[in-house]
Amino acid sequence: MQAVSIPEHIITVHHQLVQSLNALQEVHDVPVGLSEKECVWEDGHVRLYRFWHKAHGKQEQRVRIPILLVYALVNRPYMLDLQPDRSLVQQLLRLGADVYMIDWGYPSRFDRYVTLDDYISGFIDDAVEVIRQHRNISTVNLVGVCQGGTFSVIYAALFPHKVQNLVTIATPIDFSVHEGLLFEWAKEIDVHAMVDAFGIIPAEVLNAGFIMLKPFARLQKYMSALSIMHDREKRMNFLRMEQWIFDSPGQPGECYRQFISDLYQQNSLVRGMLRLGGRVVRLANISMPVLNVIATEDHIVPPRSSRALNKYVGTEDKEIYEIQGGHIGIFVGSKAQQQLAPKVIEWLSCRDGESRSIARRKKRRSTRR
Amino acid sequence: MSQQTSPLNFYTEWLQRQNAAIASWNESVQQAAHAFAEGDIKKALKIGVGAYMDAYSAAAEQHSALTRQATEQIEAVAKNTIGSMSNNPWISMENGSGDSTSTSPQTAVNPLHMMQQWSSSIMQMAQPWLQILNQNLPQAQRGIFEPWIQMMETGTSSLSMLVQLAKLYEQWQYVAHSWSASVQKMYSSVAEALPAGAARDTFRNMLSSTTVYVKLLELWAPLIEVMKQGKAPTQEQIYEALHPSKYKPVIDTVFEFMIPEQMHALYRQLQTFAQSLNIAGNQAVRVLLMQMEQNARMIFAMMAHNPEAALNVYTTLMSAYQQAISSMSALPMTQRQSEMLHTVQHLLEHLSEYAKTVATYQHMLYTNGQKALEKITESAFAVGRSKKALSSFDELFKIWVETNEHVFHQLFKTKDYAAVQGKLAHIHASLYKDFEHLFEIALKDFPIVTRSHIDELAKTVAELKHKVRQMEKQKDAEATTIEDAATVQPKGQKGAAQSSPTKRKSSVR
Repeated sequence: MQAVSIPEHIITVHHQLVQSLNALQEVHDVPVGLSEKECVWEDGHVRLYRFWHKAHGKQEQRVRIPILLVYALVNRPYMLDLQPDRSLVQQLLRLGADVYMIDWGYPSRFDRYVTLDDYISGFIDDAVEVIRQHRNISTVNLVGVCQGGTFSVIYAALFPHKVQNLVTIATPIDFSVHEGLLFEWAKEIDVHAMVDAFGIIPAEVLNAGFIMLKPFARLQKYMSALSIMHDREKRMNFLRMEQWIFDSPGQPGECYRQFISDLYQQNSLVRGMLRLGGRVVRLANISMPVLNVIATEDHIVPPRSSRALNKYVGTEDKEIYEIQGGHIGIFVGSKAQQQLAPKVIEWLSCRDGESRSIARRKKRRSTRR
Repeated sequence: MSQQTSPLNFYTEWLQRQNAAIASWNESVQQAAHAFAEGDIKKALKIGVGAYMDAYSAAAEQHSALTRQATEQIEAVAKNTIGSMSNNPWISMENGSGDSTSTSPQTAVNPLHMMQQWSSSIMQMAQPWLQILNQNLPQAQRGIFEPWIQMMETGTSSLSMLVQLAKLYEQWQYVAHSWSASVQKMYSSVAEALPAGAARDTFRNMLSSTTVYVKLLELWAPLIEVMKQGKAPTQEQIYEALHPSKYKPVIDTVFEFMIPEQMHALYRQLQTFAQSLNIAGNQAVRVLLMQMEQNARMIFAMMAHNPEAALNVYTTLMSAYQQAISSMSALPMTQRQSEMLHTVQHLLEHLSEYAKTVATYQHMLYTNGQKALEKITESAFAVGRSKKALSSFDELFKIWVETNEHVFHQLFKTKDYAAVQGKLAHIHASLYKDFEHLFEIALKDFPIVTRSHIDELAKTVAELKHKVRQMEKQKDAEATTIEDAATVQPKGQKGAAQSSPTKRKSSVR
């Protein structure tokens, strides 16, 4: 055991705590999501942003068809643009893509009856339409993350003619796997009682679940943070992540009810039983190329759940790409930073042919003539 | 270990006592329901809420007694183990038999007394400025922290000196514990003055983590001290480090469990709420009865002469009463009072169920925490033998974290755990609904928008939006079909814009 006495050890800890307080009281703002962007469309709390990459002048456009990023409802989408040197958005721009992103905003009590169908056939489809019209194209590259990936998969199955390529990242598909704790816990939740009681599911309820995933490791994280608070750069890096973790919007009740009940509890997506707006969602309808990115140490979405997508989609052009890291690590980890965006751009650029819908229309027109 | 009561029995007994308190409460609820059915509302409320308070207080006291008993046992073990301490003047002095005139240099200063004085003076210094902080919370600026930071740094230095002194007595754990406890509250108060957001949340989490860290350090200090001397801890020392009465607060802090005092406060609030309802109801009914009596006298007097006119007066009065008074004063009509009391009864039943499920849930976590602790002790302390010595407390803390993560993960993935957690979430939702229902009943006659009203409106808005969206999409689809059929020129910007959401949503930029 170390020579330092225990009282001295306790004093050191308290001293670090005081110093941390001193450092933290200087922090009045934790800036996140700093990439330059423009809101090109909004409907209620939902916004569609288009990003600009000015720092490096005009980039060579390696992917002609715009990318639409669809994030989860559970946390804020600026995880994809946390800080300049840890930004999937910035990397995609730098590598030559045109990037749009949906921001779901913070739902109010008036959103409790917004359904899964409203999110997918409504907001996502509206966003896709806006991009199609603005850019005079017929298809977009859809990149969905986590729950946003599930939304994107469902959208691609319902509107395959509007999606050029589908990229899913850390996306739950097969909810019957017995691996992730959230998957096990969700099966025992009376979601109907919760939605009826709360209307909008409070963020605290969801966060309590996330905290219980690793309750002890969390303590160690904050103990380790004590020793970096004096370093401004490290402190701000830490705080940006904390800002994101606890910046959790509530969940619109009806959408939450359907997501938990139909997907987590009944696994209706892969069983071909999911119905949205009166239509059955068939994964076999996904005829466009699919890139399925998986975090090998994902403790929130078990890799096996994500892998299942490639089993059910109708396309032959499909690939699974594994990145070593956790659910968040694949976006912010230094190694993952060098893998994710380059892979997505490389994969898309090989499939960046003429928009299929445009091609179909041209074909129709030439036939008429 | 074999001669001692198994630590897990502590938790079993704890669970039994919890369940006994809850069973007593259930009985009270039944009695309350019976009283209610007989129309004795006061009695129902008194039994329903009051009895539970008593039962819970008793449970809390029993818990304290249990802990006290365990602590006494441990102290007895500790005294036997550290027999040499009887020579310590400070210990002797605390027992009332010390010789403060001893010539031993060690008796010159009592570190605990010094610590208490220091702690008391620092609290006195802190008090006025904590008040300033509280008064200026919204405008909390950087400058406001500076005196506190300085004070804490000074305090830390002075404590260092105290600790050096205390080392002579090997009583540092008492000193450090007192110091930690005294400053912990101040940290919490100051955290409130940090700007809301990530910085404040982070500090709170750091505070909570250091609390656990220091508690572990204090708990394991004797073992660490022994190991620093290259020896293996005695069985008693290991037993002390393992004992749940000391370890339970660690688990309580990790999972932020409600301690009995907090639960007590919650139920006291509930009791006050129920009593307020009762008082308000009685007062309102009294006013109503007085008014009705006055009106009735007038009507009866009139009826003797002109029954038809009297009835008209009665009708007019009632109508005016309903419009002018009832809508504003929320008089509890019999039916509403009945509905409210039914809801209170539901709420109390749910609270009972919640308490029982929480107890089961906590028991699960406590026993697993204990299992993890035994594993850690086995691997890290019961050594000296072939095991590699630990190099620092941080290393031990890391082992503690990893072992717990592993043990708890095994628990968390079981169906039993998921079921209990799911049940808790369900009852929590029911309680939330009960409370909201109570408020809605109370507010029914006030011109206040309740959640039900908002939900109704939100539902209509959502349905209408959904319909509008469907119609717009249908219109767009039809326009595209017609356009495709009529196209003689390649589709350009204009054609695209026609089917754009830009046309139907003014929010496009």
